[in-house]
Amino acid sequence: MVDNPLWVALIVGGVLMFVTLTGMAYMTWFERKVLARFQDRLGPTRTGPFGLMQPLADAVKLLGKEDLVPAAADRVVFLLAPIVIFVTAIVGVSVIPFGGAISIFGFELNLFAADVNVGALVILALGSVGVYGIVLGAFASANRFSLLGGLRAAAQVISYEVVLGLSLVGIFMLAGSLSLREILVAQQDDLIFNLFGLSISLPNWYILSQPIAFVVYLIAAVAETNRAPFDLPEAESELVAGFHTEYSGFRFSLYFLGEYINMIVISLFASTLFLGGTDGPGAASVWGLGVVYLLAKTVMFLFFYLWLRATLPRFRFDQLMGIAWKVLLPVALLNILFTAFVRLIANDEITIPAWVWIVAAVVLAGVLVLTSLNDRANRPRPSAQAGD
Amino acid sequence: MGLDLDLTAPDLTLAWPQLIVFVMTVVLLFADAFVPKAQHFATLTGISLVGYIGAAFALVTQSGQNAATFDGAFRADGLTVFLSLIILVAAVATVVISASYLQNGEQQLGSDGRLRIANSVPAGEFYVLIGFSVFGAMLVAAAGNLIVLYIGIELSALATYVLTAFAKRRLTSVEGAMKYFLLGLFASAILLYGMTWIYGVTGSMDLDRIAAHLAGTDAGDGFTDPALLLGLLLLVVGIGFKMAAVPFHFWTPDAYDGAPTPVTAFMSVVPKAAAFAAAIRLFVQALEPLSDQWTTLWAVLALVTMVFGNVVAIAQRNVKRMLAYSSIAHTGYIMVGLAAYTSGGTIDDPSISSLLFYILAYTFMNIGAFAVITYLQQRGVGMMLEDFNGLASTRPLIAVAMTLFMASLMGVPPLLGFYAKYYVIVAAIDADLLWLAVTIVVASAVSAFFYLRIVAVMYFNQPDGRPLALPTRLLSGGIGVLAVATLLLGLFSSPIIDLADQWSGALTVLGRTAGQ
Amino acid sequence: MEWASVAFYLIATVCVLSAAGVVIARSAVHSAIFLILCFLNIAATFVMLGAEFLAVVQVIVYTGAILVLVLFVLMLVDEDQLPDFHTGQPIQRISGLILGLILLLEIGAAITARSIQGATGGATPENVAAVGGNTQALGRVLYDDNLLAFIVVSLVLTVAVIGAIVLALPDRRVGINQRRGTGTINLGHPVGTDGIPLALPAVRGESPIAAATPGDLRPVAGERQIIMVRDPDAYTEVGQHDAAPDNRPLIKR
Repeated sequence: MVDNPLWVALIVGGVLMFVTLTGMAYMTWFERKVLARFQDRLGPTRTGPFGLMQPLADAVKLLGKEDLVPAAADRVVFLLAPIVIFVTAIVGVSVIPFGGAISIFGFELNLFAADVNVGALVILALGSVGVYGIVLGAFASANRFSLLGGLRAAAQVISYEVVLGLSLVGIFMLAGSLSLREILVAQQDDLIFNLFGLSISLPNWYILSQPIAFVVYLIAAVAETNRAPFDLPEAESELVAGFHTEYSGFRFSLYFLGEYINMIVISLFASTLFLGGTDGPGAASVWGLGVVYLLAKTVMFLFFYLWLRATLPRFRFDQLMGIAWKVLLPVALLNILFTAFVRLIANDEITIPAWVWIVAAVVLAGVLVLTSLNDRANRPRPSAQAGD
Repeated sequence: MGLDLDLTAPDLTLAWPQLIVFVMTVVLLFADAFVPKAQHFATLTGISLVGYIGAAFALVTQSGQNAATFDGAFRADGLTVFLSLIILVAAVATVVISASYLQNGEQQLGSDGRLRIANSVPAGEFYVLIGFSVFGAMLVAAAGNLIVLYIGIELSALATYVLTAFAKRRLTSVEGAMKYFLLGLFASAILLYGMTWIYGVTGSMDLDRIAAHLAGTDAGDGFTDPALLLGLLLLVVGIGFKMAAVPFHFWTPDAYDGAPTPVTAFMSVVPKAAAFAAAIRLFVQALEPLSDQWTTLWAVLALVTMVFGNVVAIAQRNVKRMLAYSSIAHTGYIMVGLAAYTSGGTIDDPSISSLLFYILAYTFMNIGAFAVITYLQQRGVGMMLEDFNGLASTRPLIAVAMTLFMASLMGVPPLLGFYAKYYVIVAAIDADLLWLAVTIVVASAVSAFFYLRIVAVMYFNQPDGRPLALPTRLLSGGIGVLAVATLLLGLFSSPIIDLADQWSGALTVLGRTAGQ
Repeated sequence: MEWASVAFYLIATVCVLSAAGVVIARSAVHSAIFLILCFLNIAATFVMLGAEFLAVVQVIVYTGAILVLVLFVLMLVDEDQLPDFHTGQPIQRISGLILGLILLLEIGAAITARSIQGATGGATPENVAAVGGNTQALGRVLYDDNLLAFIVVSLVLTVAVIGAIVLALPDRRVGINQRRGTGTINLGHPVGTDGIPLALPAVRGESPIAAATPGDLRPVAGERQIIMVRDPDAYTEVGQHDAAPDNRPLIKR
């Protein structure tokens, strides 16, 4: 590993930004194609081969539209809000490691813009700042639908951010670091089991050791990016278009860009954390294969997003909050406890006397019994329900 | 001190009393959810009483001990024992006197002459919040570093803010809670800023290390570092807010008046005791080398507080508001103990012991007075002076108890309040603060006017035929016990003072009084 | 080094200016936006001090959670109903300004003139590097020296949650039936009192409400009794000891 000098980091960052924007453009193409296939259609076909020039045509159309500012809008905030979401989305790419040091034209350089030692948290932080783009844009529009969309976005993002963060704690504990690069390195080890004398070697990808966290993360990530089935802030059928009702032209396209880049970043992040990122057979020896692996995994996640959108109906808002606080949060917390426990046992850092096990079992059973009794006592009688 | 991870378990046997209160609170939390409705109230009250009394016994076994654990963040010494005992006494008294309030709620007299329940109170949360507040206050008393001290104060105060707003349908309750909350937060911020300065110039959070560091510099020899003084000033302001000293007392009347009466009784003692605990820990233990500076500050504040509290109390016709100003005045008397501290940390310095004894005495008589108001509030009317009309003929025993509490608050011998004032005055004279001693006497004389007015109303006015409350046995018994304690405890003050004298153990953990 | 100080002064200037903006801005939402800016710059200062973990937590917790909630509340409230922050006598504003300036001067004097200094703590750059970085060092300090405080802070949060629930939950005695009843006909402020007003079908062309006398009870389904009309006393929220005229609003305008 070498440290990138500032100017190299700037160049890498610039290249990444360009690649991300292009990727985003073709993400829209990909989405239209995939959705069309789900619905037994063809999708865009006229612009270029397979409709490949469609993103370009869309860009021209969006840029050509009039940039409207409603008369009652809070003008400055209205103009600034889309920029917030775009910037926070694209900065996220800078901490994703695309691989180790490579040598180009005699230069040693690292394939990431910034190796921050709290990289994982930076992504979470950017997500939490990004919500201001939605909330402020909604507020500044002076439109009831937008306001409702903004309120939903605020509540949703705060709730799911907690879940998102907690689902990753298990990984941080296993890797012993918050740095994405070190998490990546830790996943390149081999996980060797001894199963009935048979030695099985698996990659140390955290999806294997943290499957619960992976599921929780996947659900929370969809909600965090406001995608279907959690796209309540911009629900067309209820809120017209939610927070961006009043936006048009270029400013609308910034929201659009922000949302898709967010998806890409979250997918890159998930690939890095759970699927070993650039790790894969032969990745260490073949130049550039790591990046291909990473991108392939990312595209898999993106396809999953589109699959969800094509399949699932939208949640109701109270269901959305209920899932976060009553299901995902307890599951994530239990996962943390369990991970810590297993880690301590596996590393022989503690030995647990038998009586602790017995007490724990008794307490757990007691809590379960009491809870079920309480539930039964509090369950409304059928007649009362009918009376309501 | 590097960054080595030292994961040896802290010595929890030192923290038994605090742990008992904590476990009790958690048990309450679960009991509230799971105990069936019929036994709900009795169970919760029982758990609370058993918890507090058990913690008090655990404390008594600790007296005479001087130890620290949690890397010095938790202290089990004489100061901890005495202050925690005061807090536990207040907690038990609050639980006892709030029983009827929790069962019946607040009642209002409608124009048709019937009683209506205007506020029902969730008993479970009430007890849980009291428990957390008590735990926080006990933690302040046992704090060995700035962070634990601050968090203890916050824990105690946060629960009290919520308790103040417990009668949330009544506008005055919410208003009082709002003022208490906002000003309390403001005070906390100032306190925290002061702590930051102290940490900045001494480089340590640990109270003993701060003291050791200051003693090692020339801070004590008449030289005053401006950064240190600024920190000191901010601490005085922050603590002053919490204990309701006079320029910082604005929240007191509204919060005391608005809160449900049992809560008022609680918050007039426990947060105040926590604030004084913090003051002793911060000033006497950590900033002892600066005692010349802070004794002057506290002396001036004590003077202003005593005079203002007593003078304004005269004008009040609402008894709860009157007791609020009276409690401000008593804060002034207690502060004299702090002002009378003489530097050097001598063991036989009477000032801090007198302060501690005063808080204990104040606990009994003040909670007693609020208990009587709780009793009367059951009649479905407010707490105006007129509501005491002719109490002597309708409820003679309660009238006698109220007379005792008032006389004790005034300082009539041989009641408990007299001994408390006596010890404080002796401490003030010992410290050559004759002017403060004189002010205490004059202020007490002034206070006779409004305390005796209640007694006069009870005995000389005719009862006006308002409906009488059904007395709750627990509440009546509680008033009785508090009255007896107020009457007799003063006569046995010397063992209490002996116990209070052990506070100086707080100074000996690092061997400071022995070594330096 | 030069670049670092240029960056610091830039960040500090923006930070101070946006802090001033919080106070000066007329609209509460604009104040909140300035506060966001201020917090982000504080986070940037933390980064410059080498405390990345603190910086990110500052952004996640303060900027990302607390201020979003502040905005949430501000958006729920009609802006015209918010108290105006800029009223008040000129003398109040001037005296506040003067006091603030005095405090600022004192702090400046304290910083420049201070002479005593604390001992160096354990978190020297070498020690921090030895344990693997800033985050690891922070973890060690939290779980070792400040274990007690760390545990008790969780209790503070528990109390806050309990308090929020206690204060926000409607009265237990007001069930769904009753709330719906009060929603049908709202005769005043009946929540939390001992009955519910209810619209019954008119009998012989006569409004049941008008026909009833105050306190009139009428049985409906089951043994449930319904108060038809109540006297004004039951609706007026008067403090227990405050006379009615003194029923001030909580926030003065």
